[in-house]
Amino acid sequence: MNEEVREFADYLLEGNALASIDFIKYKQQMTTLEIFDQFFTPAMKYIGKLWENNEITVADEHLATGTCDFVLSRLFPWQEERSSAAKKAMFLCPEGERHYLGLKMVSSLFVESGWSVRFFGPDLPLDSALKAAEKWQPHVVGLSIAIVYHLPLLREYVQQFANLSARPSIMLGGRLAGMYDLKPYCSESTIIFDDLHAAHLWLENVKVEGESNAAL
Amino acid sequence: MLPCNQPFPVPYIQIDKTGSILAYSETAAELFSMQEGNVLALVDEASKEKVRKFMFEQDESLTVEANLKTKINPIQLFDLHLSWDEQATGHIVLLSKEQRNGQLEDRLLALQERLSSTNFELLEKKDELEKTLVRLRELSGPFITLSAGLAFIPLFGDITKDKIEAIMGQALRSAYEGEYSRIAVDFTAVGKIEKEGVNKLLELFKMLKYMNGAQVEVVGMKPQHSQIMNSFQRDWPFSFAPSLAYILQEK
Ligand code: B12
Repeated sequence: MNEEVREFADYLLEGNALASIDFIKYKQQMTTLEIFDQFFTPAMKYIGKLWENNEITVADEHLATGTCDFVLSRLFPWQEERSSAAKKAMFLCPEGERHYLGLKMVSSLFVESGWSVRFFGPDLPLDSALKAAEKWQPHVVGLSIAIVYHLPLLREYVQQFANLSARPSIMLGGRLAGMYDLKPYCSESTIIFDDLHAAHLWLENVKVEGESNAAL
Repeated sequence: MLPCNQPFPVPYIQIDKTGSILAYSETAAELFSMQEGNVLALVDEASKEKVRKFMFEQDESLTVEANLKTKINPIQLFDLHLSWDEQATGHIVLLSKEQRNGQLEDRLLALQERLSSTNFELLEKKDELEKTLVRLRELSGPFITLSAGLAFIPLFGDITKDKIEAIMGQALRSAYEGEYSRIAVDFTAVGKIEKEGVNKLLELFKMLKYMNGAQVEVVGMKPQHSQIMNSFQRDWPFSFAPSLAYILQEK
């Protein structure tokens, strides 16, 4: 475990928002993707390890989560309304799922790539999610899932979204995507992402396609 | 594996060094399914390593936080308080943390949700407002047919770029379909005039004139309006008429 990650995780666990923000601000020469991938993600995972080592409790994780969310929100725009020409993406966790930090980072990457983004966060009931999607007609619906017991619900969400008349692309990520084969829970058009790099690559490709189309 | 004969007020389980359940309290049986006979069967997959390491690989009494499967909840947070006696029997008291942590979680979430829901409410209100605004602007310049060759556009309120843009589509379409020879534009109800609004208006007049061959006549212009209009532009593609009544009579 990298010393710097440990330092950042300690600030998060202390609830030290100012030190956490300063820490990340010093990394300004790095890209957003790198900062998410090399600090935020491993710090939260390290916090998970501390829990497994019986060194902290879930209450500590809560404080770290709150701090982490605060720092993300202060430094990285995670939703944005743009002109109607911009592509639209919405992000949510299925009902009961409250691990949303990873999803929020993905949301920020989409904002950074020029998309219109709506982030609904954790615990969004299916009917609200569908209503929101019908109204706004996003091109992409991104889902995140961390707890195994939410998988049956995930299938339900994916199916219902796939049935929407606007046929959004469905993206799936989160802790479980890196651990299991989630295809059985998905529709044919669902894209599964193991990590942020894969999502970033996808965004770059879309951008290049968009530009070459525009040049035609 | 026997139910305990002591009436324990909290869930309690006795185990041996392999985790086999030796005895348990009523309260434990109410909460957990005891069928598997091993305490590890009650532990969530992602907590198993932790429980194994801290409960079986050492002899001190200790407390471990772990997620357990209850009869109603596949994953629920507990504190496991464990101590070993001389016979290597482990005594575990299992206390749910669900309520305490649930509250904490709800509070954090409420904060987070408030942040994003306010955003959406605002966004949706903004959407609605914008639609209403466009509609309002369209209504500020209705296109009215007075007779076969004569149409009438009364303008209401300030002359802004957005407003003229909003009425332009409807005006051009109607003018084109109606084949009017004269179009009277009424300034009686006009308030302020903006330069960019005037430029747009000029564009509209030109289009009406060249595309439809219609003659544009402005009525009801107040002296302060014509002063401003002239300061922006002198070469106007329209003529003035004193009033709508005058135009109607002339016809
Ligand atoms: C922090 C944390 C919490 C926080 C929540 C954090 C949050 N708001 O996101 C709090 C304290 C609230 C919490 C609560 C609970 N948690 Co918790 N939590 C964790 C912990 C320690 C870290 C999770 C994290 O933030 N990871 C960092 C993020 C950035 O990684 P990520 O989610 O994988 O996301 C990355 C990628 O997957 C990808 N990605 C993610 N989503 C998406 C979506 C798309 C579209 C794309 C393209 C990519 C993508 O991008 C991200 C960035 O790199 C994990 C342990 C672990 N090792 O994961 C446990 C863990 C996930 N929690 C667990 C549990 C059980 C719970 C609780 C039930 C109680 C508890 N803690 O014991 C509650 C349940 C809450 C609920 N109803 O959902 C278990 C799950 C076990 C299981 N069987 O599934 C874990 C594994 C801990 C454990 N070892 O038991 N938890």
